Amino acid sequence: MLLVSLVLFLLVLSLPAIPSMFEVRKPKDDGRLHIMEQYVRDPRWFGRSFRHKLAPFVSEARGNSYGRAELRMRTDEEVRWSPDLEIPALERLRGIGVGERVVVGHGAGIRDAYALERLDVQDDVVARTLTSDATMHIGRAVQILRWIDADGDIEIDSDSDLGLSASGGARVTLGERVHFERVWGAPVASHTSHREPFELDRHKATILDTEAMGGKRSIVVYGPVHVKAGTNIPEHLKVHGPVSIEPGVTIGGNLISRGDVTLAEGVTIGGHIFAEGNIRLGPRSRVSRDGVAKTVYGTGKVLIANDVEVYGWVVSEDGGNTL
Amino acid sequence: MVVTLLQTWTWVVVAIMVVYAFRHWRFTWNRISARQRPYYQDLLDSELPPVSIIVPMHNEAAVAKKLLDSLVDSNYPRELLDVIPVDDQSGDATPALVYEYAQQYSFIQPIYNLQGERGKAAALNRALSLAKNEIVLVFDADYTPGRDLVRELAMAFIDPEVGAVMGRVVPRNNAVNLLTRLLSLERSGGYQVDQQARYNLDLFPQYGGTVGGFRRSVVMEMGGFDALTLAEDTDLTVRLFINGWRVLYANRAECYEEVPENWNARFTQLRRWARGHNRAFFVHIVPLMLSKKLSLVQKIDGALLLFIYTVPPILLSGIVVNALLFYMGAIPVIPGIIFAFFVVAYNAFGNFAPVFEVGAAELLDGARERLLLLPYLFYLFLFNSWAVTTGAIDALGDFIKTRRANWDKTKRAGAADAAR
Repeated sequence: MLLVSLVLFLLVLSLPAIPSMFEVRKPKDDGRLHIMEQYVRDPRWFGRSFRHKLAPFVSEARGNSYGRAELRMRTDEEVRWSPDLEIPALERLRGIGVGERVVVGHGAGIRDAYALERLDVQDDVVARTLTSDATMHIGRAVQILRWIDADGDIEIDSDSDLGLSASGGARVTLGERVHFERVWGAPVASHTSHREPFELDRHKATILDTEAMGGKRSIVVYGPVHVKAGTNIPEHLKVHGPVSIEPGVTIGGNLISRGDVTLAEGVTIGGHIFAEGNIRLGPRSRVSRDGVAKTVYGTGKVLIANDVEVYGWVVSEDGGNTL
Repeated sequence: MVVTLLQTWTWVVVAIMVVYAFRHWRFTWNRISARQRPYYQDLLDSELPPVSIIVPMHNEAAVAKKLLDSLVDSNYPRELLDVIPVDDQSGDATPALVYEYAQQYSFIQPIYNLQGERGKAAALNRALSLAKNEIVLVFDADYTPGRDLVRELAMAFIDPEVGAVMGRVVPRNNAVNLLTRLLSLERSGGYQVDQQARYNLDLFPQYGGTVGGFRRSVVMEMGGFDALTLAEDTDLTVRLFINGWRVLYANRAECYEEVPENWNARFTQLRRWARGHNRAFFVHIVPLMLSKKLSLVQKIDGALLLFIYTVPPILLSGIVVNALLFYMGAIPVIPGIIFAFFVVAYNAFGNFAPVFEVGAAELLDGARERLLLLPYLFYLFLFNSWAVTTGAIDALGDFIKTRRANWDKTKRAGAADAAR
């Protein structure tokens, strides 16, 4: 009886392992977890990759008055070349349009436009991608489905949606109510009518000023923090909670918050802003400086008032807006 | 009297298992349902800090070339890099290989330890005394860091509170046999769920001694690495937390490693980990609980982390005690609860990353048929318990006799892997 019960016990014990034997004998899912070992973070990757794919076509077509080819992108795409490419208003264009100078007319719907010189996109256009080797102007209420990239300045009028990524090799100026997820520029600047400082919530906050710093170069605070006007923090401020900052404060290094970040106006941050929440950059706020790229990263929304300059990258996981 | 003691001990064991079960359910639930805490890898910076990379090596000729090639191929600016391979009395071609790379690349500056103290902690101390930079990263020789990994790890130190950072370890040889596949499951649960949840919850993420880094000045101020320890990673983690520093976990800073391919090598590795980890428990548990720089929840999680390699012998003792009570006719509780004890014990502790935790991790990683292997973790758990119990007994002996433990290095299968 003991032997029978023991055998039965072992049998029951091994039951869950029976389906496993199939996977052990004939493995179907034994590949290693894929790591993209060659991956390097590059805010202008979309533009660079696109240009790289089109380079053979462009070098062949340039100098001609017309060119046409089929290119293998993710799917087969028709590419058309004209030195002065003008896509008429309300036109629906499939494929990729390439030219020295490209104008996309009002209300047009296109896939991809690539200008070797100036790219001008008029109001109410819907486009998948826009690329320029020089400057780019985007009119009102333009909707980008994927990304835009320019080597030179980018100027974006009001109410546009920049899709997944907007990147420029020089100044990227955002007009009013522009929606974005990731913007890279030197700098990313805003030109809007929102000139009022943000209101600050100092409820139950630790008040931080130069005296409270006590000569420290960096400070870590638990709970909400309110930084008084004129405070100078030589290096970093880390806050385990929300942080609100009065006008005229300077932080030489990084501002890291485990909640929301609000800069009232005229605040200067020398390093990164990293927030596990929303970020509000008040008028005349400055992040980093010319020639030095840093990042403003928020897991929530990033709201940008008038005359803000961020040298580097602005990333908003929940979607950002100018006001 | 004896029966009462044995019955009490049974309840203590059950209580410990229930605590761990709750802890791991909480981690799993957090990982699959809560908002995940971001790490700093999305920050781009044109002012990257200079970084020293230490690679302790002992008989690593089979694998070291891949690592050195990976570091040469790194995207991190070479003028900011200072790579220090430490040849720790190798008897194979490691010194020649390292010398060859040093001749080719000026940023690779090896150290040759020809005599004296051996072991990882001693090698790190030697390299630290020569490292030029404040940020120090450590890779074991069987790792192959991707092009952007150094930057991703170095970004942790933009945070003034961070003393150390830990990336995710991913086995590259998991298809070799059943053991490597099970170890791959174990790693997945340990990193994808366990470490990330501890990071999310601001608890006690662990610096794992490789694919990670720390601030040189902080470690030097704390007296460097304890040469007596076999778990310099756990030791450093706890000391950092006790002193008010934080350890970050970077789940997307992933790096391939080689897991042991035979049971003997795995036994040796686990026994060494258990020995070192338990020593850290004996040394640090009181300072940890008395630290004024940690919250109560952090202290509890830290204590549970330190205690984790002590639990298998306790669980085994619980099983023995129950058997004794059974034959003495003095089982203290109804059989259903005894059964629940085993279920909880298994769920909570099987393989150090419980079955539900491993399952959640594998689902997050996109696993399919490999989930069928989960029941085998029970058998691996029995094996682990044996190895860990042996290590725990070693550690107790080390602590009582204040004896020095020898570093039993895990044998690499790199050459075989390369041939495959």
